[in-house]
Amino acid sequence: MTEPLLEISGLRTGFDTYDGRVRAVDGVDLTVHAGKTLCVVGESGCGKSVTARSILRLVEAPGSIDAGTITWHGGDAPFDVLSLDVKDERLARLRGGDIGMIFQEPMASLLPLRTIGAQLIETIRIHTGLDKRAARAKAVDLLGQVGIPKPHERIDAYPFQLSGGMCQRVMIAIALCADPSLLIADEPTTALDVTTQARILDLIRTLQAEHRMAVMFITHDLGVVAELADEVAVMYLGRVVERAGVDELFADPKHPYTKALLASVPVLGRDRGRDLPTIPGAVPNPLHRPSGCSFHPRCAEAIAGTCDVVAPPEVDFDAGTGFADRRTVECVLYADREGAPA
Amino acid sequence: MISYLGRRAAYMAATLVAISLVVFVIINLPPGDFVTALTAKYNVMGQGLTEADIAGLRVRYGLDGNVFEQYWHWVTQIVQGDLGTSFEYERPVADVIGPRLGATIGVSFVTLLVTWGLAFPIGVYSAVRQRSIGDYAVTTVGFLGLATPNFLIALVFIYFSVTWFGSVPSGLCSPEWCDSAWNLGKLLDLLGHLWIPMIVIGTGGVAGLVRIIRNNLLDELHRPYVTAARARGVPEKQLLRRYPLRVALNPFVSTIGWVLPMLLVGDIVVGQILGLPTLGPILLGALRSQDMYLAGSIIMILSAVTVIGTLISDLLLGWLDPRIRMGIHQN
Repeated sequence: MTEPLLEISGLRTGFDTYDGRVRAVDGVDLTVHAGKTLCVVGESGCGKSVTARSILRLVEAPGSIDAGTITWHGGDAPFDVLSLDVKDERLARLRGGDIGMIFQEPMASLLPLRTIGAQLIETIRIHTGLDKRAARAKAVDLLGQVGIPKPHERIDAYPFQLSGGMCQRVMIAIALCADPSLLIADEPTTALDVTTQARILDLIRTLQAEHRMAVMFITHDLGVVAELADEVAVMYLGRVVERAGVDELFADPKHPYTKALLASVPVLGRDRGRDLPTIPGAVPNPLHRPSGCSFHPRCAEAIAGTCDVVAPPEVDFDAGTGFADRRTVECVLYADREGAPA
Repeated sequence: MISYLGRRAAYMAATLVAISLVVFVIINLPPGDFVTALTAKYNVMGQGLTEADIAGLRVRYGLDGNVFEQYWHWVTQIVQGDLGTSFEYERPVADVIGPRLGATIGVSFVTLLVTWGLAFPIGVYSAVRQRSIGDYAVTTVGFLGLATPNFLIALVFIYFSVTWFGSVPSGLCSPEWCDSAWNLGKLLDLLGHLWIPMIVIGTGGVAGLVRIIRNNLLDELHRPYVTAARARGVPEKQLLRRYPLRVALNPFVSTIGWVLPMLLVGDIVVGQILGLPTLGPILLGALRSQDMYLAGSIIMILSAVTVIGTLISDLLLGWLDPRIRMGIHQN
């Protein structure tokens, strides 16, 4: 088993609204291992992005992190990111230095008024202390690495002169500028068309191998998960309901939600002429979280009198031979399994 | 950038032509023309003018041809710097406006600098510390400043200076200094007078600009590019200055277009109340006494300055924002 790089434990992040506090992330434990890819999947609004943003302390008012620890093992001595002062230089080094992050809307993530070169060089200089000329040379080199043609010309282009896919490559180049040990990718291909998506995924995989970095990939696309992931965490309504190595998850999904998600992925050939199964209903408003297991109103296997009353226990399974060091399911169906807390 | 500049300059020329037409119509709106008015005046003074005299005057003032010739005559005169004759002052318009232009620009320029100097940092503070006590204070005072008409503040000033100091703060200089040449005494005297119109005209301006800057910046502070820049470790101060502030500057720069004419007229009502030697009161008087060449010239100058101001702000915008410079239309 590889070393843990980032350990999220008991993370709770909420947002104040006029109707009360929304618990967007409600007790999440996740571990990213050095050099491995963790995919976090779930429907819109399940707290994937907020979890990712909490790591770099990017949650803005009216949101705030209420509890938990996020331990970074990448430095000389592990420390809790959440306990750092915002002015702590360790946080400054994490942001863009040890951890690179790319976002869902590559165009909107770059300032249209400055050239991509200016924004890239700025980041290089912040984290490496290179002088202007050296930083520019490195910028051209990075743009070439992420597959931007004629990088020495494109470096002076403005973001609006590039396509969405090219902008995402620029964002990746910025994220890579200080050789991070972790890349957080927050649905980086959602806004792109399918061909571009595939190219960006290829690029991320190649760069991951070259730079030997870990990737935390947020997505709602199970196809992406199958392609990229070593480990998978399935989130629902602010909680991780199932975690597993990627092969185990696809071969033997445990949680009814995971099963339903997998069943709703069309398979070429198999699904011809037949209705695709869907999960009934929508993700409930986190303000009005269902009692007991929050998935029970949509669950095909819900047990009346139990699932709507008792919060489901987290059941540990044998991790097996996969990459994941833990295989867990948060569901009463498995409560009688070995090692399960009652 | 060159084609952008050319495009802007072409728009500007077209606008000026359109404005000159409107102003010409305004000048010709009252029945009769300048010579008619002149004839009537000589009649009153008992010096009847012969038909030949009148015809001669018409030729002299370019009023003899048809409407198009008259317009051409008037426009070419303006281009040569001859703004016509003020009927009321019986002097060339340029002589009436000239001396006041300096005072107007002086008062307004200082006011503008102070306004911007105050509004910019306050607006930025208020946006960055949104919902803080400071923000609430600034916003409240700003609303009061916006809601209070400038002339009311001027009247309040006059009231207090009369009850406390027994004198009315009027004009820009004390009588003993007004006609003297420039020296330190006159400068100090000017500064002693300048602060009143500055505060009176400035309060409304500061309040308005603070709101513009605050709202612009609030729109930008939570954009994805801000989060992305923070995520890659750009320090907060640098982040604010290089990212959202640059975008928030655009609407601010756009205001230059209408700020420049305001510089010239000053506040008409405040100018009247405080007896400031600015163009505003003159324009008001010219309109009331149908002194059409004077009124027309002032309107023409203001329009030209507005157009020039717009050109300047367009050029600044083009310099600040590559999307505008390259003529790219997208949200």
